[in-house]
Amino acid sequence: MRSFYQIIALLIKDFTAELRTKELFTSMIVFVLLTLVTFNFAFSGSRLSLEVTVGAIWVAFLFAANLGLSRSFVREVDKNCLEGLLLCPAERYVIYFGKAAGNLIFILTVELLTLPILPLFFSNNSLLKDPIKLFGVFILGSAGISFIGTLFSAMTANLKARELLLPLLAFPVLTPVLIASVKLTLYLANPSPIYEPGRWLQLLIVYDIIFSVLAYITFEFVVEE
Amino acid sequence: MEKELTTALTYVAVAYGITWAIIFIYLVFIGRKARKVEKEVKSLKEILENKS
Amino acid sequence: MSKRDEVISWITLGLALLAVYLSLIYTPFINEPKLIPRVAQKIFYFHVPGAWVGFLAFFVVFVCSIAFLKTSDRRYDSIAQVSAEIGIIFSTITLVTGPIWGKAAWGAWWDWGEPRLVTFLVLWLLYIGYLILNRSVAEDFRRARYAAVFGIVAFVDVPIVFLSVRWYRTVHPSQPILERGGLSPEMKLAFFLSLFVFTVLFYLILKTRLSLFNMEDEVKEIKEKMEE
Repeated sequence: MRSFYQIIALLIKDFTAELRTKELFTSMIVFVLLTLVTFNFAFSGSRLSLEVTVGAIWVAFLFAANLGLSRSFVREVDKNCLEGLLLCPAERYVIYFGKAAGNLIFILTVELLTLPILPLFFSNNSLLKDPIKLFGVFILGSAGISFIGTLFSAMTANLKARELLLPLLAFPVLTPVLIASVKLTLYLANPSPIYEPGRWLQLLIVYDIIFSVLAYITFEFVVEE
Repeated sequence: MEKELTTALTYVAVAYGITWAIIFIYLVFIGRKARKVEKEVKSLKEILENKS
Repeated sequence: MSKRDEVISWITLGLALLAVYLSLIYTPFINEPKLIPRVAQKIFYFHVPGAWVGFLAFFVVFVCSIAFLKTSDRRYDSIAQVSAEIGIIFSTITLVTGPIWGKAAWGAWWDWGEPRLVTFLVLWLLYIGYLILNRSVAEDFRRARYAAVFGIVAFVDVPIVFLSVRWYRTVHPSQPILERGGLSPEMKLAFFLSLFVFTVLFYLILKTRLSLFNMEDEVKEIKEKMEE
């Protein structure tokens, strides 16, 4: 229970810091929009199939998430706050889960804020057919991204090539998350059994569990001095 | 028939060639590294001998 | 290299030549009506052993990563690094010969619906990332810890990647020609000889590279001490 309050405290700290500048939220949202606009031009403005639309949306989310994740620990390192954080009388995993939850909420907020605009962009109303379930898919997919991303972000924050290295390490590991999230989003827009939602849902949940446990075990080795 | 056989054999030859070329190049790479280290060890030894 | 390893090396060289010979001459053509796939099947004798050694090497990385985090013993870190490098070499063989075989057997260089192919590409990218991570951390102890964490995460990820790329095409791809009818005794001999040669090769290269790696490390340490 103590750890739980500590995680909440860490969350509040991150949000207060973010709300003061709002630099991350703004740039992530603008980035998603920019990616979608770029996709639209790249596809020569042709009417896109549902598959391409959903794929483009998730790629935009993944890139935006990468942007936020790469800042997550860099902010601490640059202002020499990481030492302070590590000196807190809290377990290492508390720091990890606090950061991961913060990243998850950042990513989800960006996704939710851009969601109403998506049907306008792609003139495809079926995307929002089942917004509550879609939100569930967003949670599961973004959780996978932030569990892996937070672990790797802590690793790369100290390095010179940090912005470069994070996607290089994270994207291959995240392949299953991307595939499963796209499939589930497709299913919600066009409920047909060919998308096999059951197995993808299982895969996504199993992925989230495995990597949160793995990160829980290994995080202390990443921040250890 | 003959043309097909040539095509097929080309595929096989290219695949075999690439396989062993990759291993060979890697071994050469290790060999060069080994020589470099040996040289360094030699020069270090000389320096140490001169000091003592 | 010890006397024993030298003897093993020469025997391996002989066996490797024998494996090439057997796979080219000795094995009969499989039961396949079209000529090109029938001949190109011979790529299999190096393609699959390459994949096997790749997996073996990455498994060694995984085990050594866990051992390193448990014990902080530098030796495990060295083995993991060297093994990842050799794994990349052998999986590159598989990754390059795969499309050649695919072109001969299915008429296309690449098939995103073939799970083994795509999984291998992701696997390859994962361990390229591992090597880049290893080279971009200056501080030695920290680098070893990061690499170990990534080595564990990457290996755990592989089966999940395999499942997901296997499911992501709803139409299942045609099975490779080999599974149509299985291997004849001659083919089995050539295949297992080749597998054996590759495995021994992995062991020899690992040992040689490891001793070189440790030597480089020592030279670096001595140099640092001299500068002080």
